[in-house]
Order: sequence, then C-alpha cells, then structure tokens
Amino acid sequence: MNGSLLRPLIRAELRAELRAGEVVMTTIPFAASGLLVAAIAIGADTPLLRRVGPGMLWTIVLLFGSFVTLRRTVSGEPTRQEVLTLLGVDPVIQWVARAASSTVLLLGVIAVLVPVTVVIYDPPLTGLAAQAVAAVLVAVGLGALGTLAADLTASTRTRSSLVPLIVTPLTLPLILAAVQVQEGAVYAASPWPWLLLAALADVTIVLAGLLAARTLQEGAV
Amino acid sequence: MRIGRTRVLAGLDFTVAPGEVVGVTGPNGSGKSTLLRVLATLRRPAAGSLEILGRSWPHVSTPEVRRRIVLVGHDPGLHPDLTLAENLELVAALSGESSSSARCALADVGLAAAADRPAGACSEGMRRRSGLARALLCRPQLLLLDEPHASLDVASRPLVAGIADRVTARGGAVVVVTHDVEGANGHLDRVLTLQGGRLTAEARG
Amino acid sequence: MTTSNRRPLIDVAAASLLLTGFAGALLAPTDRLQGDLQRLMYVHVPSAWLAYLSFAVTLVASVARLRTRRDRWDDLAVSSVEVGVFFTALTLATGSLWGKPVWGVWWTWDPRLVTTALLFLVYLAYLGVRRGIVDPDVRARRSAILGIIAFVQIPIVHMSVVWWRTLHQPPTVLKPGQPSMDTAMLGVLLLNVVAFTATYAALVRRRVDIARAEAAAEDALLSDDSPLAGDAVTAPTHVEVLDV
Repeated sequence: MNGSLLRPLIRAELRAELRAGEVVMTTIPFAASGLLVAAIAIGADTPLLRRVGPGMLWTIVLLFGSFVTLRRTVSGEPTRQEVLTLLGVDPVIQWVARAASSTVLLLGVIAVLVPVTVVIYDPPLTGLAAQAVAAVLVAVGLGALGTLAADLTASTRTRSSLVPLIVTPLTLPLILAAVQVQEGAVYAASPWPWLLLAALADVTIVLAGLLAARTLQEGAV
Repeated sequence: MRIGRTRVLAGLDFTVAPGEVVGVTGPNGSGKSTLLRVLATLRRPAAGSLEILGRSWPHVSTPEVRRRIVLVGHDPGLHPDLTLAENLELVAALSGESSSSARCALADVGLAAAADRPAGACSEGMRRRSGLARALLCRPQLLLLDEPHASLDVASRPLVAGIADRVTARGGAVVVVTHDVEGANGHLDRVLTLQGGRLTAEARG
Repeated sequence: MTTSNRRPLIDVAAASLLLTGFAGALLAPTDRLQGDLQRLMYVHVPSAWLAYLSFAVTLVASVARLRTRRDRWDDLAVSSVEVGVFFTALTLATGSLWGKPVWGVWWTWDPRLVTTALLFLVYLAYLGVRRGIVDPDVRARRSAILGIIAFVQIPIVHMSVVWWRTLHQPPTVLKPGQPSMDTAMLGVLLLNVVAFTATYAALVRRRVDIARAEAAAEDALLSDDSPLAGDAVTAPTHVEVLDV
C-alpha cells in the first residue's frame, strides 16, 4: 500500500469538482436557501433565531452533506474504480482519497454557511476555537460515512435517498457535539467531552471505512 | 462463472502464451466482456482454476499483478470533468511515469490537439482512443481490449494492431474481444469463439 | 429440509408462551398509580429487549458472513433485521401510547426512546440497501458491513443522546439491588420476555427457512446443463429492406 498515491488522487478529485462546480454552484446555494427558508418559517423573532441558529446550521450541514459525497465528480463509478484498481491503487487508498476530498469540500461548505448563518440568525460568537475543531470533526465524519454509504449503495437506483438515510442517524453524535460546543461556550462549559465524543465517532467511522474498502470493491459491478 | 444467480461462463479452458494475440468473438451476450473482466482479476470465478501472469487465484488480485494488466473496456473510465491530458497525467502519476509521457501517449493516438479538452466533451471515438493511450502509457504485460475497433474511424484501426505489437514485442500477451475477425485478421494468432458462455471453436489466425 | 420436523415444536412453544404471557399480563396486579395502562409494559419492555437482541444477532451473523462467506449467515442477518424492525416499531408504538396518558406527550426526549427511533431508521436503511442490489454475494457483503457499522456506532449515538438530555426514569429492572417492582408484576414481565424471545426465534427460523428455500429453488435451476445468460440472445430474424 502506497500513501504517495493519495496526493495525485485527491488533487484530481478536487480539480474535477472545481471545474464542474457542482458543490459550489448547486449544493452551497441550495443549503443557504434552506437556512433562509427555515428562518422565515420560524418567524422574524430575533431572540428565537439567535438561539436556534447553530442548530439550524448543523442540521442543514448534515442533510446537505450527503449531496457532497454523492456528487457526480467523485470517482465512485465502478469503471473509474476499476481503472484505478488496475493501476495498482489499493481500494483502501482509493477510499481514503474519496473520503478526504469529500471532507475538504464539506469544510468549504461549512466555511460558506457559517457566515450565512451569522448574518441571518446572529448567534452569539464565543468559543470559536472549539467550534472550529468541532466543525472539522463534523466534516471528517460526514465525509467518511457519506463515502462509505455511497459505496454501500453503489449502482442502486434509490441511492440518493438511501445515503442520507444511513448517514443522518449515525452522524447524530457529530451534530450534537457541534451544537453543544456552541451552546456550552455561551455558558462557559468545557467543550472537551463533546469534542472527544465526536472524535470517537469519527475514529469508528474511519476505521469502518478502511476495513470495509477492500470487501466493498471486490466484485462490485 | 456466475453473475448473481445467472451463469455466464462455463467450461472454458484455454491458455494465452506470452507474445500471443488472441481474439475472442461470439454473439452478443455470449460472455466475452465477462471473460475479460475475469482475466483482469476484477471478477472472481465461481469455480475452476485461473492463472494470470504466473500467479493463481486468489493471489492474482494484488496491486503488483494488477499493475501489469490493462483493460480497455467500452467505458474508458475517464473523469468527465478533467481534460484528456489531466486524465492521462493522473494515470502516469499513479503508475510512476512522467507527466510528459502522458502527452506523448495522447500524441501517439492522434489526440495531441484535443489533449486539453474535457473528457466529457469528447466524442466516443476520442474517448476510446484515450483508452488506448492508457494502454501505451502503462506498458502492460497483459492487455485486454474490449471491442477496440468500435467507434474508431478506419484510419485509426492500425493503431490497435500497433499497440498490440508493442505489447507482444515485450513478451506480453493480448486478448482482443472483437466482432470484426476479418478486419483484425492477420494480427490475431488465434481466435476463440464463445457461444452462450461456452467455447465453441478455436481457430488459428 | 432438515429443520421442518423441529419447526412445529418451536412454533407451538412460542404460541403457548405468548398466550400464557398475555393471560399473565391481564391477571397481574393493577398498578397503583397508572392503573391498567401500566399493562402496556408487558408488551413494551419485551419488544424493546428484542429490538436490541435481534440487531445484536445481525451483528454476529454479519461478522460470520464476512469471515466464512457462507450464505446461511446472510440469511440469518436479514431475517433478524426484519423481525427486529417489527419489534422496534412495536416498541415505539406502545411507548407512545403509554406515554401520552402518563406523561401527557406522545414523544419525550428520553435517550432510550431517541436511540430506538434512530435504530429503527438505520435498519430500515439496511433493508432498503438490500432491495437495491441484485447480486446475492455483493448484497450479502454490503449489508454485512452495514449491519456491523450500525451496531458499533449505536452506543456512541446513544451516549451522545444521554449526554444531551437525561430526564427519564432510570432503568427499573436492571438496577442493581432490589428490583423496585411488585414480585408478581416482575414474574409476568419476565414470562413475557421469555415468550417474546421464543416468538422471535420462531419467526426468524421461519424467515431463514424461506430464504433457504428461495436460494435452493434458484440453485436447482443452476445445474451444469442449465442455460447460460447468453442463451437468451438469438440471431435476429432478417428485416426486409423495402425498395423505395
């Protein structure tokens, strides 16, 4: 297994996405409109919006994160995977490259949606360092589980709804951690228990993905 | 050989020697492409024995063996949003070749001028040719071509034979699935005919 | 089939246990505070136990399928999920029916309730993934992986929900020391747990038999002289070209 293959793979994934602009031009605006519509539906009640803002942000990130791992530019197509396999790229490396590129894109999505949330909901901005760590943990877990779920449902017709159905319940600890770290910062509570729990969830998900990669690719048509 | 609970291939017994170009022909659905995928170590045979490049199943499905095999299928497996050159450069980077060799390979298949076009904007024939460029770039010891002449213009047909020659000159072997045995004849050492997943005829080319 | 002679026995045992448990639930002393409503416990608690038991069985069967590649483990895994999803739904439904009159709400943010609902969703996804995959081997491998991930991740999910909110009564039966329940009630509850478990075993056994019968029927068509996929394609008949 050769880790140096990772760089060209991830670079190709991200370059393809930058060129196609699927996440930037579609997913992010769609997610932002979700944040806006949710605020309108809740009502123009500033103190209430201030309280629910972070919860809304992370709900939207969770729901729309699956679109990022299911994007068309990801090399999840069986024929493209086969080409990589015959180039001697271990399925584990391929999985890491796909999960890592999705994580990078998810971080981009979060980076755009955070200011949108701040503008619309005006949540209290405290404990930003811990919240940034929580955001990274969410991106890693969502990227990895989304990639794994995309592999589990490859070539099924109901894939686009099955992936969110698998991802949403199992990434609950990540979303709760992100929201609770923000809420805790307001009351000066320690973020560490939540960050550790989210890290534990991430480690479990990533380990599962690494262990499953070879089994999933074998004979997958 | 089964796919799911459907039997696709049965009772196949043949050897391809180094330096040989073997054609496989037969009606639609006779299992030709499946056979290529088995030879490419991408499908596990349900029964029987299989030896590829001196290793027997299941020891064939390792990166070391796979790196010596190139399969050019109907879908060349390109990133549609990357240019042909970027696609080939990725192949080069992953197989330890220089990125200039990627452009050379594209030039060899007559795509030098189209190298910076996104693969998704290229015609079927061009995408096919870039698949052949991958075969040139990777210098395989086992080259598997699935209907390489399909969507290729007449002028490009000698290209397939030329690429096969390069492989056999290095002591490699080539298996070509083709419907055009006459057209490919002269380049094929042997022709196997599959009918409904069974080997029905074997002829010297 | 070798199991056919044993099947009636387990069916009869499950049915009679279930009947006894039902009678016990009706005859058990009435709860002083909640009245007859509390009798829902005799369905709710055994169902919840089965939800967890069945998904644990799926975990074991999934690991075994990946290690041995034997299809019988896949049969067991999916059978257990199907029965488990039914009992999970029963747990949620009885919990809701019990909660409304007692707590005044259909739904509370009790960690165990939330986790059970999430379990229900994840294993629905498990069944959804299976439906989409035609190749039995690919289907078995993918669902085995999902069966393992879901079960391993659930404790972490549960822990996060517990931290997030704990306002529920602590577990009553599994509390160390004296169980704080009337002995007669406890006896009936345990009887029902046994009865439900026997029912689970009978249902899973039946479902596994069906899966095996299906596979056997398909394999019977697969002898060495059975048709190959390509036999379905014949040469086209000539289409006449009309002179224009």
